Amino acid sequence: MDFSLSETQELIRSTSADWLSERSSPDFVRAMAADERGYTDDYWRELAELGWLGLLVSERHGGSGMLFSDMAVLLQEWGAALAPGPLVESSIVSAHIAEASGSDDFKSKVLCRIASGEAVVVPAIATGTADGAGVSAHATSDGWVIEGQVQFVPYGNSAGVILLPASTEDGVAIFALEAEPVSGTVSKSAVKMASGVPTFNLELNEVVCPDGALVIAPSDADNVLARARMLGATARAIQMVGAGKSVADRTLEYVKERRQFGRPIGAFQAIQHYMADMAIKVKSAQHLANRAAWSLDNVDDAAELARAVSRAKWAANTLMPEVCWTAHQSHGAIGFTWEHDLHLYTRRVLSWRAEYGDVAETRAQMARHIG
Amino acid sequence: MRFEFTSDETAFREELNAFLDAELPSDWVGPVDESTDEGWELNVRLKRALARKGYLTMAWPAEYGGQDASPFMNLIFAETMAYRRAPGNDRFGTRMLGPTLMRFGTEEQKRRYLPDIASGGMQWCQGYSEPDTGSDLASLQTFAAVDGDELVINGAKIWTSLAHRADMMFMLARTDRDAERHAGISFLLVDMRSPGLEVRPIVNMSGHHSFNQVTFDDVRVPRENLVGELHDGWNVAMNLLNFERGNIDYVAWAQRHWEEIRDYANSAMRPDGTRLIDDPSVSGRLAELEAEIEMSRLITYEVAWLQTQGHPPSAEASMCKIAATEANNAVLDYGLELLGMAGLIDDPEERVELEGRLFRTRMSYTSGPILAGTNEIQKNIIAYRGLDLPRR
Repeated sequence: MDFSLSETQELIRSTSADWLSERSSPDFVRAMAADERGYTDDYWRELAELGWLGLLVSERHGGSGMLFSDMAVLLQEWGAALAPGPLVESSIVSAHIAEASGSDDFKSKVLCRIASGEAVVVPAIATGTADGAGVSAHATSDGWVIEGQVQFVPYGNSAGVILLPASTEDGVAIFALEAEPVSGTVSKSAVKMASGVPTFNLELNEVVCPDGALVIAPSDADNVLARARMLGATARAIQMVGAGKSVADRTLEYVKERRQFGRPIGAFQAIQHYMADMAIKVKSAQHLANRAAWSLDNVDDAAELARAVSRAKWAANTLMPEVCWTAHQSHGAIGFTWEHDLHLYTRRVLSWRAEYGDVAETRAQMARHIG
Repeated sequence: MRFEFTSDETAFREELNAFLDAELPSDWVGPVDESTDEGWELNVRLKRALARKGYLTMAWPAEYGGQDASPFMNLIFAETMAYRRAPGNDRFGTRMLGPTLMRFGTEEQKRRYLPDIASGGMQWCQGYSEPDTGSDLASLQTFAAVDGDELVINGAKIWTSLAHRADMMFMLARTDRDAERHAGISFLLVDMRSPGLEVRPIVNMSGHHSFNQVTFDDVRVPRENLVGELHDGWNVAMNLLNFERGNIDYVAWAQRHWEEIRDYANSAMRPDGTRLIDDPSVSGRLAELEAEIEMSRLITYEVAWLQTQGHPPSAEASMCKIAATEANNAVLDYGLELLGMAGLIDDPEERVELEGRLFRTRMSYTSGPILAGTNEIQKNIIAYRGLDLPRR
């Protein structure tokens, strides 16, 4: 057992914490939550220059081919700063699907653009309603004809490519939906979300895509989707831990400063026990999230890996919202205001809870492995 | 980060399990009932066998006959012993007093007591709590008056586990009533056969005699039995408490209880012919509990890791005490819920099937969140030491 960060990880942690504290300030986070795209070109370009967008992309495709555990260190800071932008969507989940694609053409086209920040690729797999159930694809002489509906696609407006699971005659496959299809229409209706992330429901009417749009064949799709979802779930769990830790730290600072009855409210046992509970919850969820990240790099046994990931996401799902609500309670009325930043965390945490395995799903996943 | 044990550590766990397979009765369920002579004899036999193999004092420094085993080897020992519910892991002697004597004891005390602790030949008990002194340990009133080369003790200790089996007690007594309350306490070693010392059994809510009241009526103790300086006992005791809290026993017990309840749910049938485990609410709750155990395990592993890094556990040790005792009781509570009437059979003769012993087990572990500093006191420690919150 070893709970320390490697030298590389320590470097990622300090660099990202410094950069994010400047670049992802509360003002920026608020502005981006109200922004149509949810991030800016400058910001995204800087992330690419730092190498973070290609951290997991293989070296031959322009990335640095690092471990998920390394990315996890960045993700905790990313979550702590509520950093905007589709890092998890594009550089983790989509990058994995692209790496797994049998189409070299697609790989070489997409992966280096993910790493360089030239393109944002968004997977439509974060919620249970987007499992290919509402979308079908038929092979025709003109190419694939894709039809149907998919809900809650994050950053659906700025995505150069949307990776879309769809049912084919041979089972679910994953298609790369380009911004400009050969013919047909993709109508995107914006949904205003608690998180502020630009989110869209898509309706595809007789959308015709070239043969090459099929990037993961039905024979591979189950495995690729399962791994992609585990990456998404672990990433969200780590972001939630980062956010929960920020919330706990801020609340601790507040209760040491805020005075009532002639003393800091942090001197009252009721508040102290809230703070102790928050610390235990953050630590518990953090250990499980780190274990899941380590397992993604090191564990081959499918059941053991699934158990580690579902536990991590379940723990973050159940504990981090509790940390947020306790933080609001400890702040009193000021923590109930729009002006205070606390609700920004709560909104993100609740949003991340719903993605890549909500409470009921992760509980059911864990239950499949209790022996 | 690395979330797996080394091959040496895994090999040691296997070796210890093989040893326990050989030493424990083949139908062993555990835990041992120390109130019966038969149970106590088994405890002593196991303790001596563990001592002969060197397991008991594995974590001790080589200069005291130990092996300088890493905190993780020590953790694996405790985890395995607790999981097997094996008797003989003498926490008072090897895990609490031994390390305290190494740090605070005189050469004479080390020479006199450490070999007996290491061989499993001497049983110790801990005299801290008093009838009017529970969480507020520094309020203790048992008084030891200096009288020449002796100290004369008057007062009472309570909730003293194993006092009825112990040869010696390490205890805290007030030696200066006028000093600031932490400054007037001393740490003493007392022979349980001393004239004026009386042990009265207390039966706990499970119906089991596990602890006692000990009264002191002019009990005379030689001054050489002081550990640390006169009036410096609080400092000695606080170091010992830290040692006590970092243990993994509750995690391992919770795991074992969880597995037994899971196995029950796997085999128990409902009237409609379905197994309990086929009900998603049952498998889901079991899965949640298993995750909660895992959380407490990782916090405890982190405490061991902190020790390997030279950081004495403080707030983290309190966190694992809370997490593990709560997880253990949550598991047992769910077991009782699941077993229904069968879980409420309370038959002292029934020691094998889960039905018949689960209720008593849950009753016994009511003490988990209470003993060794209640979980509320642990939260105070987290607040003061870990989070730097003001005391007033």
